[in-house]
Amino acid sequence: MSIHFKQRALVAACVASFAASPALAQTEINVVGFGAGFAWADLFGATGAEKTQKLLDFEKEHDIVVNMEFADEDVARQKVLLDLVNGTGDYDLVMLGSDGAVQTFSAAGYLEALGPYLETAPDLFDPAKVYPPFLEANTVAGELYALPYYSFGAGAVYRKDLFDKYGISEFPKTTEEMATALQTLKDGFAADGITDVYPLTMRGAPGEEPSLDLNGFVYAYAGYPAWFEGGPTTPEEIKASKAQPIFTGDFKEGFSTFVNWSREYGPPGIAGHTWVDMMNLYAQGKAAILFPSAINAFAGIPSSEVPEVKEFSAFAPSPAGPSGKVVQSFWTFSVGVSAFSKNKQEAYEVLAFLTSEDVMRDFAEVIGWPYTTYPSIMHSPTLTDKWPTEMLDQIEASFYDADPHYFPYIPELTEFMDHIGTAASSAISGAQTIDEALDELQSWATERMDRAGYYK
Amino acid sequence: MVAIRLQDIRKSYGPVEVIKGVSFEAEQGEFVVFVGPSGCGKSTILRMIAGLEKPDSGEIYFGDDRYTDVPPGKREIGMVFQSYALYPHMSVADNMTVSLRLAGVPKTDRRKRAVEVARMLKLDELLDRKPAELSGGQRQRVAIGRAIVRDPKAFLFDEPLSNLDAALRVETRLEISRLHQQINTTMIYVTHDQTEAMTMADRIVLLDAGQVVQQGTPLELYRNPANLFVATFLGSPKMNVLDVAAVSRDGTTAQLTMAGASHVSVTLPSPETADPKSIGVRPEDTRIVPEGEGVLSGTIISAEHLGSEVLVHTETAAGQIIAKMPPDFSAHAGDTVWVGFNVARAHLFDADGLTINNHARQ
Amino acid sequence: MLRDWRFWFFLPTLLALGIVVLFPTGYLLWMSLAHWIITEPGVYFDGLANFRTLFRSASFYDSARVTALYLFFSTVIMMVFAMLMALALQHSRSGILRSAIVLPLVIPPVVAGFTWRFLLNGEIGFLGAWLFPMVGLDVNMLSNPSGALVSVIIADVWSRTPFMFLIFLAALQGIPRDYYEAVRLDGATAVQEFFTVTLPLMRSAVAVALLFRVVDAINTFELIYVMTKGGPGRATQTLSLLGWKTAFQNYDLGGAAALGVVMLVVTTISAGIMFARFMRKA
Ligand SMILES: Nc1ncnc2c1ncn2[C@@H]1O[C@H](COP(=O)(O)OP(=O)(O)OP(=O)(O)O)[C@@H](O)[C@H]1O
Ligand SMILES: [Mg+2]
Repeated sequence: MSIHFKQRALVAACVASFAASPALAQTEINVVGFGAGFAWADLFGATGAEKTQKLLDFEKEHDIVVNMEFADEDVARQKVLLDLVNGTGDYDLVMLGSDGAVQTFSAAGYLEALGPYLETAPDLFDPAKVYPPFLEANTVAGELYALPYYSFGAGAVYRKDLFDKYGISEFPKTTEEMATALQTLKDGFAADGITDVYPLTMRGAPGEEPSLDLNGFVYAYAGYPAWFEGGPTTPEEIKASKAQPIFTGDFKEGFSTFVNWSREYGPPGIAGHTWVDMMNLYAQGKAAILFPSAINAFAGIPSSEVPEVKEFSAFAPSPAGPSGKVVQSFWTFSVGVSAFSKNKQEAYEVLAFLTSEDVMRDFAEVIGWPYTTYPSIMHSPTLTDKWPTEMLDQIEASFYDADPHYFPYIPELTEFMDHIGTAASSAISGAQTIDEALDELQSWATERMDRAGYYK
Repeated sequence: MVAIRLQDIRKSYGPVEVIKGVSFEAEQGEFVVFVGPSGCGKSTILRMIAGLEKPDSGEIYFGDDRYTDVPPGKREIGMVFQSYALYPHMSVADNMTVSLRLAGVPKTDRRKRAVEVARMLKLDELLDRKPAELSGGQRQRVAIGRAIVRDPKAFLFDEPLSNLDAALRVETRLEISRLHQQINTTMIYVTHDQTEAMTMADRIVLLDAGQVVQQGTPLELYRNPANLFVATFLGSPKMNVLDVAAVSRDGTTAQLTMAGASHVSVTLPSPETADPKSIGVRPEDTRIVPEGEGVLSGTIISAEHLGSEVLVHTETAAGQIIAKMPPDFSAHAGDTVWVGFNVARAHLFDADGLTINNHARQ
Repeated sequence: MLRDWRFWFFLPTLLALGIVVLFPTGYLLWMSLAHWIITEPGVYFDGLANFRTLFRSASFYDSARVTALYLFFSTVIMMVFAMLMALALQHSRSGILRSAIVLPLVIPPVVAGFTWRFLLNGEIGFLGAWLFPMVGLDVNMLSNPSGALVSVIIADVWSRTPFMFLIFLAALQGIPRDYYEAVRLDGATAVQEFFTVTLPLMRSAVAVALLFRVVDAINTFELIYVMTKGGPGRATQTLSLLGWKTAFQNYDLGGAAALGVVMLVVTTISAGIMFARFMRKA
């Protein structure tokens, strides 16, 4: 999950460190991240090893030296974890995802709560100016732990030409209509003898990645984050009610739908697909709908060599499930201050700069996708010149529609996401039936929660 | 009966012709030694007999049958390699009976044969050891045993003694000779050591640069070398060779003048023979003599006391000369002495190095 | 011993070895006995609890089974391929051919994994979407549980065979020609020659290759992670992937260390067996 970048395929590991340290008195702030040449290309250049004038100006003004260390995503994540576990404080700023890292590390006391710092650099970062859900996604137990850099909400990107061809006049508004539309597409392709275009592309690889989308289904079908009895989303709530896992209960319908749609309407290899495959299939014109992490379609469209993909791709809001809630897929990629940093104030200043409107505008300019963390950028020529206003409005609406807490914010989040995703992959591949996969998940979760001391 | 016959064998490696038309015959039961300087092609010829190399042209016969294209495994040849090529992972018994195992002979029969051969080679105690646990001489015997086990039509040895120390070499030499008498199979033996050739061979084939220079019994070659090369190759210490500066002839008598104004008078086989250009005298026909009786004067460089004799090395105007003297001869380095020759036994060579006179009677 | 100069001579080496080998191993052992789960703050000695949890978890046995299958098949196939290639090329002087064979060795496992993943992809991959269907192979390699295991084995064989090939080639070229000639004179067929001379004389090379292979296979991570993430489901989740998940997804450092200790023991025992079996003095 998270943002993996295309270059990653070939760039195994790239570590850049800066030897330059002009004056000894200056504070050095070390940052670890991934996606060299993509993340903050406006500051660190295409190689991730340069410093642009903009960054140099910031350093000069604040008397801080920013040392950016890029690594392959998994390597970066491991570095962050090991650095935090050992409490070295070597990295002042660490990249985090809202799919577990923020929740786990904050609970473990590895992250500095940012509330007190927000007032210290209002000219760089003003929380009132960004979309609230992106801050909420980084908020655990009322405390903000990270600032959003790159975020997205749910939605579908679909091929209008194919919809028109098979007489579907508008994109489904409910999952029920969606199932009908998928069947129509499937029948249509079959009748036309089209075997290499699939109605739907999603992701079903084992691990935590597909969970982000899958849990969006669960939320839409159950109407709440259906992991534990009564839908508690914090450790305190779970402990108070001793809520047991309900993976064989309310969780099941959304899970089953995800698995069945993958099997029925998805590409044959979907049980191993990640966001990359999802993106490639859509970009190559081999899928009619990409859903619910629309961002992955936008990542692929610019480089598509299929004219219809470029011409007829349209965005649609995520359809609502039986509960009335829409299918979620929400994630924010953020940066937090290490609790072990020796220069937290300066670290925060760098963080505020890295997530500032100015820097984010340049970033939006560079990648050109219709996503940003600032409403002001969303409605500025940076994006309106490239995308239809109507689409931008719909995407913005999806941010507001999002419930970042559509899964519980517990320290064990990553572990749960992993097990849930692996169960889905198993069921999609046919290695297990849905019931077998969920029974196993349920008993693992019960044991795990018990071991973690939730029911004492 | 002829056991092995080579007929005008030629072989090149790339552009270099290393065997330049070799023909030869080995009689049934004969012990033939191929001798010659390093690189002259001895191993190559042996390997062609074994079938490990293919001649470019020429034919190989075993008995009356053409074997030129027969694969090595079908030639029934026992070969002993210089390295012995014993398999380190097999016991002595297994090493010796590899050929039987490959031929599908049952284990008990193999063991029986191994014991038989081991007894012949005094290896009975060692049958279950691995090669690493044997001495050099023992390994050597195992290698021979491996060749014997299959009752080959002929044995081929490629410098089998070169990995042994001097004493063991002499001993093994005798053992191989004894073995030959015992089993009376044709043996072809390659060496660059003339002593081995002289002591073991029924017949020596002397090679140089891929060609047969001379063949015959050791004594024939020793006494009547066909040319200067043969003359100097066989015999230890080497034959003394002096350049002839001037010749004055009277019928079959010739007065030879060498460097340092020394003279000898020799008898030529006929008045028509070419002028001798060099004269060779073996050390045993060379003497240190009282002043005036000798041909040349020289200075003693060193004297090697071998017990049974003394080898006296002298530096003369005509070059270094070695004389073999009785054991009680006393010589001191630096002494000026006179050197004399038994001229009747001198070898005369023409400008091409070919022998002019013959010593058939001796 | 202290009087022997050799002791002092080797002392620095011994110390260095102790620090390099023993310290991390000791640390791993300690971690495996500790309750160290980031989601449950607090690090304390917890006896064999991690091992108990490990030996009770289904995913451990599952991963052990996958690892065993993966180890066995990849090793056998690799050995056969490497041996055949070494035999075929032992007399060849073609540097180009040899470089071509060795090429996969210099490609990082991550890149190799990505490449195979794209090649085998059932929708757009050259092999998966074109070649296999063309020859009537209608199976989606990467999303089928056994297909995925076969796929990672193929990729691993592709990327690691050259290493074994090099070991075998060096060993082959080190066998003196006399051995072959002796056995040929004894009338051996090519097959007999291989089993009488070649294989026995390569014994220690085979053992070394096998040793490297076992350690390598047990520790293969990137290739599988990139190709299948251990999936579909847990079909290709080997012990090393499980270890990674335990540490970096479950944040259970103690549990991961316990698994590490188990893997260390298994690797050491297999290596020991191999040593005893093949490296004994011939
Ligand atoms: N495989 C080969 N390729 C090229 N040249 C070779 C090969 N084998 C032998 N030669 C050359 O052929 C010539 C004869 O070699 P051979 O081994 O027969 O010599 P030899 O008389 O046995 O010498 P030695 O006494 O040193 O063993 C040598 O010049 C050698 O360099
Ligand atoms: Mg030789």
